[in-house]
Amino acid sequence: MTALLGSRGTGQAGSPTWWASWAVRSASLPLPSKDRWRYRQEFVAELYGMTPAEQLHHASGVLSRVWTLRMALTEPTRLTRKEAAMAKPWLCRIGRHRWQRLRNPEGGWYRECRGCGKQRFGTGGGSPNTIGA
Amino acid sequence: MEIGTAAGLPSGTVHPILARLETVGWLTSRWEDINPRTEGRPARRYYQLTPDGLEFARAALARAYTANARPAWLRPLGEES
Repeated sequence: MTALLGSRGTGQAGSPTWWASWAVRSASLPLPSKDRWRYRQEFVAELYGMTPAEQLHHASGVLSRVWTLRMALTEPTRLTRKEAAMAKPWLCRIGRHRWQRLRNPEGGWYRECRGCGKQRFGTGGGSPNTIGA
Repeated sequence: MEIGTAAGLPSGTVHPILARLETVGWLTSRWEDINPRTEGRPARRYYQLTPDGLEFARAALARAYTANARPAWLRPLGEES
């Protein structure tokens, strides 16, 4: 108890304040049960040596990203919408693709963007092998 | 915490990234080998790049460096090419 109260309101680095400790412990609750203990320990250990202001910043950061962490642990291969957008070159994001002409195994032609891999198989009612305008 | 500071990423952003890298085998992690009673704090979690991760990290850094390289006429005077 002494350790918990030691740095409260003093503005000095040391043991975590009770509210920061509570916040990061709560942040581990949505995590899968197999990982919960590990991250609870990890989050709390990181609070040591921080000032109360840093603890507040850290705890709020951990709380705000806990669902992303949960997704990373449960579905590691799935990207969030934001991550997928970030992975796409900015020119592709505004619709300026860099098309290259490629041939498929059946011998037909199609276009693929060098940046994001988007494929185009022609326009209108033409055959799938027709190159669009 | 040190990783986030070094990478310039806010708190909480680093853990999901580390979790993904650990899942794909680019990182391993372990608990710090201390006695929490004598140290007065719990053990920290340490992350280390695997040989595969190191190779991929070097390649990614090289790509990022190449993509961000500025032409010589844009560099400040005195900066090496």
